[in-house]
Amino acid sequence: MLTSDLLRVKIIKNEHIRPLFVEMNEENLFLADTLIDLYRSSISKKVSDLEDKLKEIEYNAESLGYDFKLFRGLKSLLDRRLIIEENQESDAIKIRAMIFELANQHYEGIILKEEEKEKIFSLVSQRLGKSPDEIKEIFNSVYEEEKKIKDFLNISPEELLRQYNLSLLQTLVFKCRKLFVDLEVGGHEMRNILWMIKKLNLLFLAEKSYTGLNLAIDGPASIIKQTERYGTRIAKLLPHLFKAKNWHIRAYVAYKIRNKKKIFKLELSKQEAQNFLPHAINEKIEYDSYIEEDFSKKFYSVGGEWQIIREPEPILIGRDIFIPDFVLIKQDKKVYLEIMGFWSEDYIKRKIEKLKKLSNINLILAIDSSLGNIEINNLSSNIYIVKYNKKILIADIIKALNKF
Amino acid sequence: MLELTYSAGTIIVRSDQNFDLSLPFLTYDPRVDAYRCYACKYGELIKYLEKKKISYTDNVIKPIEGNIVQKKDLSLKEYQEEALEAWLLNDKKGIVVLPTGTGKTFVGLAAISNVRAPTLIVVPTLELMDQWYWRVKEFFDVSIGRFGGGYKEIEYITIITYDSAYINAEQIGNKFELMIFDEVHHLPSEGFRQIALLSASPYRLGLTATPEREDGLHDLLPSLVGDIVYRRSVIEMKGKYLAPFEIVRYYVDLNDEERKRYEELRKKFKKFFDELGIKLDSLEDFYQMILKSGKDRKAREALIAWNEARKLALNASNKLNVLERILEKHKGERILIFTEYNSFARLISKKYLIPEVTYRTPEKERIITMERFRKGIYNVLVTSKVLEEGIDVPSANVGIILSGSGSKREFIQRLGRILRPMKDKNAILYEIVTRNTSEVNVSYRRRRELLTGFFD
Repeated sequence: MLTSDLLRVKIIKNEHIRPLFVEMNEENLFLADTLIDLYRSSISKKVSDLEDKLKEIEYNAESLGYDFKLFRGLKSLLDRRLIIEENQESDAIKIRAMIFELANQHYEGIILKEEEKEKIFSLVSQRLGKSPDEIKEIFNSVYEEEKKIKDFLNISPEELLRQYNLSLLQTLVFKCRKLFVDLEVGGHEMRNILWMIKKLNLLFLAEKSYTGLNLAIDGPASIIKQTERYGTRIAKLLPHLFKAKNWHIRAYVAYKIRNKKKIFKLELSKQEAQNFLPHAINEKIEYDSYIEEDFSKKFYSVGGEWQIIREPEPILIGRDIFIPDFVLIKQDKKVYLEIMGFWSEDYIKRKIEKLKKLSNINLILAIDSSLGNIEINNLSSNIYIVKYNKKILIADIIKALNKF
Repeated sequence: MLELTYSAGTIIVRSDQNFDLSLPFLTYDPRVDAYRCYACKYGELIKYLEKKKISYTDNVIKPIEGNIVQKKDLSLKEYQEEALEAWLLNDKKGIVVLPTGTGKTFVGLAAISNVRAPTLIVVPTLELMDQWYWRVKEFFDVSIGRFGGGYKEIEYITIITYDSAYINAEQIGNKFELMIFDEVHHLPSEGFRQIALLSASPYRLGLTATPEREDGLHDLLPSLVGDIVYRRSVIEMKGKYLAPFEIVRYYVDLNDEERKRYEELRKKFKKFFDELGIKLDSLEDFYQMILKSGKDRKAREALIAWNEARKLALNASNKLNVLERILEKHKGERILIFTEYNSFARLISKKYLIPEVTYRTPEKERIITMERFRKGIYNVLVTSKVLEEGIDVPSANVGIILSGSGSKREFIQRLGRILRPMKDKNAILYEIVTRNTSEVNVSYRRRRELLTGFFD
C-alpha cells in the first residue's frame, strides 16, 4: 500500500476509475531492475548515500519521461525491504548526553566559537579514552541518514512491478465504503476469506450470483452511516479474494478531481488483472483438527461407494455462508457432514436454527458428547445428529447416511 | 426483554421475543439480524429505555478491573476548581478552554479523582503521553498503561495517542467510563471523530487552549464531547497566572548568493503563474498548482521552485548571526529555539551542540533530553514541531522563532511554551524574519489576531 499522494489512476468517461497499472514491458522492467540493483549494492553503506543516489536517478528518470509518482511508489516498496543497522544506539545517546551536559556546565549551553566546541569534544575524548574524531563520529551516528544498511530482501523486477500494481489498487480501495465481489470459489478458499473478514472486523451480506456468490463487504458501523473507516481493511482483504478461481470486484471510490470530491466506479475482474497483479499462491489444504484428518483418512478406506470431499462449495443460508467440513457423495445422493468438536449449547442451538433453513440439503451433524450432554428437539427431517466420544465411528456415519 | 451488547464500536440491540425495535437511534442490520447504533449513543439509548420503562439487560460496558487511590492533594487553583465544577454540573461532559501553561492537565486529574473509574486519556503526541503518565503516577496509586509509540498496554488509566485510538477504536470503545481528550481540537477531523463515535464512555472531558478550527469542524465538538463549559483567555490571565511577555522581531537579509537564487526561483514560478493568469496570494491558487503538478512537468517545476524559495527564506544564513546575538544576550537563561524544518533544527544542534527534539530524534534520546531540560541540566533546546502542543516545559523564558508557518495555532502554542509563571523574569518571544521575502507575510499572518487584540 502506498501513500495517497503516490496514487495514479485513469478516469474513463468521467465515471469509471482504474489504477494506472504498469505493464511488464521493457521500459518498466528496466526501471525496476535499475532500482533493485541500486538497493542491492547499497548493503553496508549509509542510508544517506542511497538517498543521494536515488535523488540523482529520479532526476534522470524524469528527464527520460518516467512519472515521478511511479518512481517514488517503487522506492517506497523497496524501502520496506531494507534492513537498517540499529546497534550501539544507546551508547551513542549516552555519549551525546555527556557532550550536551558538559556544554551546559562549561558554557551554560551556549557555544558560539569553534574552539569551545573542540574543547568539549576533547574533554569527552579524554574521559572515554577515544580520539576526538571518534567522538564526533559517535555524535553523528544516531541520525537516521548516518545509519548503515544491513541487508536488502531481494525481489525480481517483474515481481516488484506486480507488487506495485497491487499496492496501487489497494491505495485506491482505501477510499471505498463498500466492496462488492463476485466469487467463483471452493470451500477452502472461501473459509480463508470468511476467516479474514472476521479477523479484520468486517461484515458481509451474501447472495447467489451468476458465477457463484456475491458478497457485499463493509464494517459494523456502515449500516448507520457509510464510512471510509473500513477502506484500509477492505484493501487488506483483496489479496485473499484474489485467490478465488474467478473474481470480479466493484466498488465506489471517492476521488478528488479538480479539487472536488467525486464518487467513481471501480470495476475489475480476474481476466483483466491477472497480467498485472502478483500470482496468487494457493496454500496446501491443512486440517483444522486431528479429528477431521483422522476421519477423512479412515472414511476413504472403508466408505465403500461413498466418496468423500473436504470443504465443498460454500452454501448460502439466508444472506450468510455455510461451508460444511465434508460432502459425501454416492451416485445422485449428496450428504453434508459437519463435525462439531468445540461447542457450547447456545452455539449449537443457534447453528441448528440457521441450518433448519436449508430444507433442500441433507446434513449430518457430528457432536462430541464428551463436552457435555445436549438434547435437541424439533429437528427437521433433513438433519441427522450423530454423537461421538472423542473419536468418530465410521459405522455410525454410514448408518446415518443410509437414512437419507 | 432487550439485550444490549457492545460490538466493534457499535451497540447491538436484540430482543428474545418479537419485540418492536423500531426505536429512535436504532437501525436494523440484516447482516446480524439485530438493531444497531453508534456506541456513543449509549447514554441516550439508556435514558430513552428508562423513560419508556422498557426492561433490558445491559452488557455494554466491560470496564477494566482495578482500583485507584489518590496519594497527593492536587491543590487546584481557583480557576481549575471552577472549571471542574462547571464540568461536573454538565453531567460530566464538556470542554474546558484554558490558555497553554495554565495547567489544563490538573483539570483532567481532578476529573479522574472525581469519577474514580477506568479512564482513557487521548493525546496528540508521545511527549504528552509521557507527561500525562508521570502526572498520573505522581498523584494516584493505580495501574497506568501507555498505548502508541511502541507501547500497547491497556490498564485502569490508559494514555493513548489519537492515531492509536483511531486504529483501535473498536477494541477500546467499551472499556472505559471516562474519556479525556487532550488538545481536543484534533478530535473533529474526519478520522479522529470516530474515536468518540465508536466509544460508549458516558463521561467525557475535552481540554484545549484553542477549540476553533479553520475548517469550521469545531461545530461537531458538542455532539462528540459536550459543550464548552468553562473558558478563560490569555489576556485575562496574563501577569497573574502567566508570565508577562513581550514579542521582539528582527529582520535579516538574504546574503548575495541566496538573494540571487531566490530571485531566480521567484521568476521561475512567477512566470508559470502569469502564464496561467493566476495571482499568488490565495491558497486556492496554490491547490490548483499542486493539483496540476501531478501531471504537468512545468507545474511541478514551478512547485519545486516555490518550495526551494520558501526554504531559502526560512533558513536564511543571516538568521544564524541574529540567533547568536540573542543567545549571547540570554546566556544562562532558559531558551527554546523553534524552526520550521527538522533539517534546520539539526543544523543548529550540530553547530552549537544544542540538544534537538524533533520527530527525527531517536525516541530514547528525546525522553532523556526532555527530562534533563526539565531538571535544568540543559538550558537550551532546539525543536521543530514536536514541542508545540501542551508539553510541560516548566521554566523556559526565552523563545526564539527562527522559522515557522503562518498558522495562528502554532504561534500561540509556541508563545505558550514560554508563558509558564516564573519568578522575577519576563518572557520574551523573538521572531527572526527574512526581509523582502514571502516570510514577511507568513509572520504577519500568524500574529495578526494578536495585534488586533482578539487572542485566546
